[in-house]
Amino acid sequence: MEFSTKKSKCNPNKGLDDSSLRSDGKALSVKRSKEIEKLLKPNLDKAFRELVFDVSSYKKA
Amino acid sequence: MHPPLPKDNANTVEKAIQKVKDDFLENLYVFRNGKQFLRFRGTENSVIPDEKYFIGVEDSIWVHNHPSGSSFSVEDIEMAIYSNISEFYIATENFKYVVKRPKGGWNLDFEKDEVNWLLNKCHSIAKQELDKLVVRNEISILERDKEIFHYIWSYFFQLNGIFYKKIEMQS
Repeated sequence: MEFSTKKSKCNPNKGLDDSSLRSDGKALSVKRSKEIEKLLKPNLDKAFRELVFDVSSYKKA
Repeated sequence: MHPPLPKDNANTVEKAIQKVKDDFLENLYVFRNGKQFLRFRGTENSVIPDEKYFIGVEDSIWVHNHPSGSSFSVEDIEMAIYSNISEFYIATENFKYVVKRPKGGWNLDFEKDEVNWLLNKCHSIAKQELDKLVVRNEISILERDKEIFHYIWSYFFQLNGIFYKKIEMQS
């Protein structure tokens, strides 16, 4: 969703190009979404801690 | 560009969420002071309202839907911050996603390098973790692409002290 008169300021070339994301227009089931969350969970907290460290390093630089 | 439509019977935020969650087209409802103020209906993957109708939408609550089941797009969030709204809901078939403006205001400018850097960093990490599941054949690429924005925003909003939640839809 976007205003017709206002283009996104985010540069998709920087890595967040959601226009390239594939979709069949159907939502995942609750069961499947929770399965994916369960599969990810062991790594999510670790990834977040790394992210916090990276943010801290970026702010110091 | 999609013109505003006459108001319908979705006279509360929750009714609007229930009304659009299963729609195969994208919608946007704007609620001002608890009442439906604007309504738009777009295509399967976009709704493009004319900005000229958005006078006085500051502090409003928006309800938008994603037939794909995905969380907010970057454009959704940029538009919400630009319009300085107070709450934003994405309705999908099985979940709703909500983000709320902090008491001190959004305080996010996507033109700033540091905000873009963080957004791209959150994207990289979410993609990296989901890609590990793709490589192990535990999820498909299509499933990764549907779920990735939820994990991007989970990280991004948490780091910015902004309330964001994925809530299972009550039937």
